[in-house]
Amino acid sequence: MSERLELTGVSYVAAGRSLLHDVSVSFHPGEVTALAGPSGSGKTTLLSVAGGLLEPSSGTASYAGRPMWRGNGDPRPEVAFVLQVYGLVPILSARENVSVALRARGVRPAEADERAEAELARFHIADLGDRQVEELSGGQMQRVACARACVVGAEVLLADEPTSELDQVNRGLVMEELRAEADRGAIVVLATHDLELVEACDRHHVIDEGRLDP
Amino acid sequence: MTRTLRGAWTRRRVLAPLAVLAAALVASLTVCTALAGDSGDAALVGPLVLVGAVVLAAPARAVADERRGELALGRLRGRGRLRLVAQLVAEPLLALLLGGLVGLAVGTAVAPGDASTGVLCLLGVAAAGCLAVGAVLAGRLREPLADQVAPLARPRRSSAPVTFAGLVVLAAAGYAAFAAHQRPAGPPWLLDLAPALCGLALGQVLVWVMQALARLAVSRSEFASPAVFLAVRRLARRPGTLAPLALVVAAAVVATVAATAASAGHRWVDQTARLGAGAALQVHLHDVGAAQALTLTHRLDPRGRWLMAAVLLPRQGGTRSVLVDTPRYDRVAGPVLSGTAAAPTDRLVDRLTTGPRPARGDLARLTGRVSGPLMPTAVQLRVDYVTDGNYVATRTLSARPGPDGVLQARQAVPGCTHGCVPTAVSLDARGPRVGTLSVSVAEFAGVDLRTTFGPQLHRVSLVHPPTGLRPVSTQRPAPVIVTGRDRASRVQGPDGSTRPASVHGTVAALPLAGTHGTLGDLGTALVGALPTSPSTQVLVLARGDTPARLLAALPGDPVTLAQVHRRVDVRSGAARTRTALLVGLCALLVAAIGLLAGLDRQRRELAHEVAALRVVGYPTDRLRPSVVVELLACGVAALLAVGLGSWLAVALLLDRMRLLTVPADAVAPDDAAPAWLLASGGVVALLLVAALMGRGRAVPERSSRPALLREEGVR
Repeated sequence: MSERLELTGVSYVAAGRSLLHDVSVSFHPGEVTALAGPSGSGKTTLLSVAGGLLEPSSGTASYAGRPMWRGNGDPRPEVAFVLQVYGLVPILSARENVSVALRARGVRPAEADERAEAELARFHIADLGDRQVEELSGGQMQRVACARACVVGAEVLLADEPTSELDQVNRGLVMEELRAEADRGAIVVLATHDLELVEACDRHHVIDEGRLDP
Repeated sequence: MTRTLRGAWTRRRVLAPLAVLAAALVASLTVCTALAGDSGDAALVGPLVLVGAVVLAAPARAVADERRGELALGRLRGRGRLRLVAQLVAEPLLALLLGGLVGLAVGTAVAPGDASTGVLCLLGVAAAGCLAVGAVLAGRLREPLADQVAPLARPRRSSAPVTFAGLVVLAAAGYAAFAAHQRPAGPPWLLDLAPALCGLALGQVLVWVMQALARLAVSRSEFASPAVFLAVRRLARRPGTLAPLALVVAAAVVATVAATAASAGHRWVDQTARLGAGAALQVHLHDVGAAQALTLTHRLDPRGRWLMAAVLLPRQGGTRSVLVDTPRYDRVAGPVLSGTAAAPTDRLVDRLTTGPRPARGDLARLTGRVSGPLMPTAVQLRVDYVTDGNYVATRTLSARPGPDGVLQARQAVPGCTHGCVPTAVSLDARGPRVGTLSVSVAEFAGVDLRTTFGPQLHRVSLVHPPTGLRPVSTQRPAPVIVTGRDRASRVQGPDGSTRPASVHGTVAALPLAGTHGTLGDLGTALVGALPTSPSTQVLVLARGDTPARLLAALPGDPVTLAQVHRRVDVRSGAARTRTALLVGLCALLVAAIGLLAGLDRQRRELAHEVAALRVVGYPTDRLRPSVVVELLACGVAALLAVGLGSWLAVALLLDRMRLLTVPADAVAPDDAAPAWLLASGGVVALLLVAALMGRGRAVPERSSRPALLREEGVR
């Protein structure tokens, strides 16, 4: 896992509005990098381009030399997301939401469920495993989303405002687990406007109006 | 007003289905009400009204969901609930009125009639629509405000009023089925509503059963394939997924029951008309005796290819005797009666012809020899007969024996050219009445009297000559075919007299007589019969391909089978079954349109779900089978439910719905639902489920891109 996630000259234009301007940045394995900036500055868009959810209007986003954009908006298997609006499957329980991420990668259902259970415990929500996610609070859903991203052991973990709904204790817990992911060699990128979180990261970039501050 | 118009335009995507539904409902109700009024039973539109009222709930929910945020804002600003609901109902009311006006125009164009009926339908639909929207909005007002202002909509479980409504429908369906089997049966409007109530109840039960099974399957599908794993959870956990099923099942049951009624009605009218007509053409003869009709047909059509004489006698104790020229039955009546309850008569009629036929000619002859010690001066043969003019006449042949005892006499016979019936024969002798007379020829208008009147005429004792001899055949029981309900011991002749009958076969129904009657041979019955009674109807039945010249030679206008068909159709009120069918089809159409309203929301929910699965690594081609499994489960459930529900509704209700006026002597309508019709109803339901629910699940790959999830507020 010594490969970098690299964005080179990335611009993104949507509905005639330029959301990213010529962004070039590299993210390194084993590091937690924060993308800081005010609301609407382009953090989520940058993460989406970096994770292959959006095709850049110009420039490239690549990981290990391979382009992140696969042509249909599906992320590469090496990438895991914690989305700002969680992106959980509403018809599944908390455990099933974590388990499907493993099943999608070919893990047998029984083993996937077992690992999902353990992952929920890691985020202190093992008791919520059988609850349908729509019955959970925002903070609980956010931790389920984190557990789902962490369980697959992805090489690139992109987290968009992963602690926005969490209290102080759980913010610390999530940050700790993200750090653990980086420690095992993953590239971890957080989009946040929480300065405490920014300070806890190894490195940070500030983005404003779609431009990375030097 | 401007604000309402602007708002309605902004929310046109949600209001359009409501307007389209209002148009369909008003048009259907206007047309069906006009037809139901024509057939004298306005309550026939009841199922459409009921299904329409239920269908309105889906777009009403969609409208209420769309205004969720405004409702929350209004509450936060402290607006009164009534004012808030009234304000939010204005736009749906506008949509309902606009759609209703279009429906009214279509409805009155299709079924021009009293415009006030259409206007009433429009106002009724608008009121019901507003009530539905208002009720859903009022329900939303009871939700916790905290939930309402939350950006994430919580799953909404079935509420107590909805469950209660389901139980009420169940109870109403049970009561309707119970009332239908009471004597006297429940009110007609309840019987008309019964199929819709049964359909709705069955649909509700199906939804409950499917939900229970899906919840049960959740724990047993942990390790199943992704298709089954996801489909089961979608059915068990997404509120509203199964709701369309109930409506599809209800509408399909109503339509299938109506189609069965219409099919049974059509078959009944067809069979009753065939039985009533007896042949493709009927010619009623007035002032013509039965014997004359018989000989007329034989004269015009000597080979019996097209014409057959028949007489209908007045009912006695509810039973009608019919006499036909049985040797021609197969040829003339057979084709029309094939496939009816009278079809087995074909095989039995041959047993009815036993005796001699009526006479036709113009000469009477007597030849014989007298033997004995003293010769009579003359021998007289007297024949009583009914002329071809249908009056009684007598002819007496008088012969003087020669020296050798031989006697011969011949005389012209009037009134037998077109057929006459010898009714009695007497022999007498003048002078010494000693000895015997050996008769070698005793012929009357071509009829051998010795055969007809028996062996007494072969060798006659002149001491006690026979007087008032009746034809032999009249002394035996008349062979007849009877209907299943009758065990005739006596049968009427064309002169109105009765004689003993012997039953040679039993059938369910007889031509011209229906289910209470007897059928005998006209020729046999005519022998010895007095003039045809004035109350007897004399007719000639003819094949459809009878040459025009033959029909022109008959003294009367032919009545076609189609005319009889129309008469039966009108008298039985069969139009009611067709109206019921139209109501059923309209209910199906309205249900389909109503369900389209909820598809947008289903598609959005599925797009979110698919995007969430794609973001964790499931490609769309691995997800599509789950939709197929879900649709298959719903489709098969709908197919089975509609098949079973329709069968139950038909078996329990159809014969009690009194859609047809069936006379006592008519065959009973075959109310059993044909398997193909039940299967068709089920297949229609399956296709509707596949089309409607499938459309709600048709999410293209580009519409479920994981990038959707990055946008705040996407649920």
